[in-house]
Amino acid sequence: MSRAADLERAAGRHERGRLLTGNAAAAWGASLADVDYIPAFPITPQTEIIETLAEWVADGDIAARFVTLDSEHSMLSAAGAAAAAGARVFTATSSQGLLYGFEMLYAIAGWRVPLVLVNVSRALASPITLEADHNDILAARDSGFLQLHAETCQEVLDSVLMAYRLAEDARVMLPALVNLDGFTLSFTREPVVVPEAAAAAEFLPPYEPNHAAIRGDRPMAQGPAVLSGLAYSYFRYQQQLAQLNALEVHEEIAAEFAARFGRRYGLVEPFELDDAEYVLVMSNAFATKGKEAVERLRSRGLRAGLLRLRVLRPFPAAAIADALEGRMAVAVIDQNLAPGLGGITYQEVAAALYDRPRRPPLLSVIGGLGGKDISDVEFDAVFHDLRRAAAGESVRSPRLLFTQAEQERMQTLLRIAGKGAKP
Amino acid sequence: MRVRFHGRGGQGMKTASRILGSAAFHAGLVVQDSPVYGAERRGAPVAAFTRIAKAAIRERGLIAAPDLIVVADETLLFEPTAMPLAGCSARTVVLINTATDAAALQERLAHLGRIESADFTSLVFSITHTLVGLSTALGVAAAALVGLSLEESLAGVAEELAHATLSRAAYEANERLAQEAYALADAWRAVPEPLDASLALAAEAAPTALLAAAPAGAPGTQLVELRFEPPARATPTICVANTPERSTGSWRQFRPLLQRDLCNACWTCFVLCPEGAIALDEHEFPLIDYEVCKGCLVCVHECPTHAFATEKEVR
Amino acid sequence: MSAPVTAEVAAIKNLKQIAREEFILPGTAVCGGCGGLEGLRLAAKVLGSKTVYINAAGCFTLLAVYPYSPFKGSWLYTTMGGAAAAAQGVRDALDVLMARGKLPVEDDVQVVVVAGDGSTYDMAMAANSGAIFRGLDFWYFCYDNESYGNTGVQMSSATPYGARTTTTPVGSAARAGTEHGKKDLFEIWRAHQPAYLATVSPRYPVDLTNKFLKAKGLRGPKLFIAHASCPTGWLFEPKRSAEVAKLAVQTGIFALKECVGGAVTHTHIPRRRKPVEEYLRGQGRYAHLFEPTRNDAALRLIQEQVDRYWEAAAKAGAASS
Repeated sequence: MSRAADLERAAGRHERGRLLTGNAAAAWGASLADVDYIPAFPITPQTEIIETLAEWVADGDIAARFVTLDSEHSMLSAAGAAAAAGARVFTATSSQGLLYGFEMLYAIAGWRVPLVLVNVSRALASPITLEADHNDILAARDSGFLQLHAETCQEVLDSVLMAYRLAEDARVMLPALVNLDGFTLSFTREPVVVPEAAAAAEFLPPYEPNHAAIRGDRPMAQGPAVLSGLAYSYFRYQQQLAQLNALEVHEEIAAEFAARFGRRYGLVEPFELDDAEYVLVMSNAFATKGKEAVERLRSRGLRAGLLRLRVLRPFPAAAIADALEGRMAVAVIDQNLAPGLGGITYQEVAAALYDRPRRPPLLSVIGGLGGKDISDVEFDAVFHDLRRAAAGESVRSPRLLFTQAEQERMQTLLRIAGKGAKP
Repeated sequence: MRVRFHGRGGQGMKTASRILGSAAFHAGLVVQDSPVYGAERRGAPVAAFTRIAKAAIRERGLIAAPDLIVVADETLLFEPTAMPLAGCSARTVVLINTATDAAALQERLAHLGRIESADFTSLVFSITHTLVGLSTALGVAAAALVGLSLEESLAGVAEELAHATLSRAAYEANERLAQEAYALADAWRAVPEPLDASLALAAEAAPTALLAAAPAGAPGTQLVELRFEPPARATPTICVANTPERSTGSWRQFRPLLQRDLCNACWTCFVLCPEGAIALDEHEFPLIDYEVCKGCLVCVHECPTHAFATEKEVR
Repeated sequence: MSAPVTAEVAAIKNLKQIAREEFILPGTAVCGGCGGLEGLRLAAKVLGSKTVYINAAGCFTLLAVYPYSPFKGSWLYTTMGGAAAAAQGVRDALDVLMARGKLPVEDDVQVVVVAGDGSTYDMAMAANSGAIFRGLDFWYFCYDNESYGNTGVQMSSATPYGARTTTTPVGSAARAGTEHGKKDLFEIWRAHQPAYLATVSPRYPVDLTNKFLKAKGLRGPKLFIAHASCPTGWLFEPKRSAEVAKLAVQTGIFALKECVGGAVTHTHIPRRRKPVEEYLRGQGRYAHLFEPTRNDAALRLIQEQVDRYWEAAAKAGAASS
């Protein structure tokens, strides 16, 4: 649908918003950020974002230049270089595409240019599948990019706007990744309130590239080799200091965003945590399912709660430890897998709690790999384990969420593939 | 025993450090050798390191406080980007490839320890008729100085030359060169304090970050806290055209000299200088900027009137 | 895409018409006698200071090593495979910023990719193809020293038949060293129909200057393959750098040509071509073709390839006087 038609249909129903997919919400974020440049390359399940923006550019609805590159490596090269030239840049990718352009993530962070890259999470091949897990986005966790992970389509749009503010702040000046889950958000429509363009523009003023630009009156060599551990240490560690600044800057921006638009986003999101004894730690779209499980268990009398990780870089260790310290037991549900280690965010949450005197028993749970559903019974099993852990029993960790029914279905697939009966 | 070799790219100091390493290994000792790679090219200062001990070596990387320093090119002695004598103490022996005698150097360098010198370049040239072979000469001389035998030293040379594809004649010339270099350096061992006494590696005297908590007041050894700096500073950008400050003229081993009376101001040297180190004066005669001229001598070779002479650099 | 944007630029006739001002200053960390730098330095005299060089990983990455830069213009170091894509980003950014009134038109710069043959012929082939296909208004300067020079001279697909590199060493089972022929990048690029395409040699500065002057009047991809005589990789004395470059042209091994609108014109035709041996002999990378025994078959093959090239060129009538 054209942007104009969409706006027309939305007229008069501002409060309830309109039905948008996560991908459309990301495109709206880029549009409201009034970006200058959109280098693009298709990949499922991200493609709808660039298709939407291409249409808006073609219709003259937005002033950005849109170019389809020849690969994600080229796309990210063009994106980073355009930002280094002084443009506000938006781009998007997913999964294999993120990995294909991966070296550019470190380059762009090293250039200290503040573009926004949306990643639509999709499990990594091989074997290939199209639905979400977070090994793609978490592979980028050490690149120097800021990372915001969204649970809802609304949050996708809002996070894109907030990511530009955060990335372009002189106390930060780093590129940002905004993550949404493939299918469960990317192709899912739900009500989204789209901010007025004028209000978005007030929240996000134009980008002023004072430290890095390419123009005839200000010759500058950018991204040169340093060839010394000394200079490398200095520049690389400045990324760490900028990331740490971003913790505080995010809170300022979030407060301003809440004042303007009425939606408040923290570094982490507590859900039913006040009196919670048994807590799940989750991120992204499946956190919604976790919240539902929490409510279900509360109705059965269990003091359950959930902490949603939202800002993953910088890593809000103190906020996480504050939220989890003193609970009866905590389970980190990782929708990712580091083979040979286990869940990725589990390690980081454990480290955040390590020096807290009242650190709770902490379980690692692997669930939702390749977008596999997490059912009620699986959540129930996690809470069962939490109660056992709180009682001092030994509980297997990490543990994969994989049911008997799923095991049987897998046996069927194996048989069809000619692997014979189970030995 | 810690040995540091200094030379210019192309002089073979990595090979020299390996000849010493292989010789010591052949002698049954524990060895570690390594070069440093930088951005620098042929003619630019380079270094290489050899550690030799009787037991396991628990060190890595740069040698900050060497027992023996080998300087392949005397022009490096006053070169700020090379600083071959850095980390010297009174017990450090310095071996310099130069025609200048050791006593004169001792005075110029204000070095408290031993200095030995010889014109290895001429020795190499007299035997191989090329400048290839300095690595053999200096590798073997270092081996002699640290107390390795001639047989062990030759084994080191043989080991390293096995990687090069040399003609039989060149191989034999190298062996002769090794023998002569060994004899030259072996004579110096008669002087007091043979180096081979220190094969057990003592803790390096040089300050390292690990010592920061120790002697208060040792300058530069305290750990500091890196602070956030604004993006204009903390982004690795360069805002001036400033390479002429790098003084690549120090790479030069031969200096092109204009004989003005032979010059017809044809611009050839100005146009063909790859580095752009030649400007033109008001009469369109070339002006060579010796601060940055690397001494490639394209100007000399291409000059249609043969107006350039060359002169070996002495610094 | 290749419509001229300015009137025909007058060609120069002799050395003394080359600009005296330097736009790439001395003191860089690249090797003495680098033929590639000579070519780029001459090109920069035409391009001037309102230029950004977009660099792919390679020898020329050493031109700007923090905290030193030789450029009066700007520089952006990218990656080995993405320089042309980065050029796309910069060109697009400048265009959109000017269109939106965020950048004064007088502060626009020309975008120039500077990449070696390892990047250009191999890793960046697709990204380059993409940029040219899209009709990007940019310059491409490939300094072709026929190997991965910065990593110590390994074979690239620009390495010619018979040259020894560290990954195509000479042995009893591989007498020629490199067994492949050099990839014909000129023809690959020509098939993309760029606005301008030329080969240049550092020893032919007037020819080089004129080609850059001519390209300056065209919008679209302006592509240069610069023969980059390399003392370090080809194993000859640095002072012979220009001589070796000249011999490549005189023997007909390196053809000076250009292509505008699809038609190829040879801008310098060696009337009596010297035998290729005169070029090969002076370079250590070909020494095994002569010592310890002469490899007649390989030498004949190289000579025949050159002869065939020029016969075909003459037949095609592409050769102008």
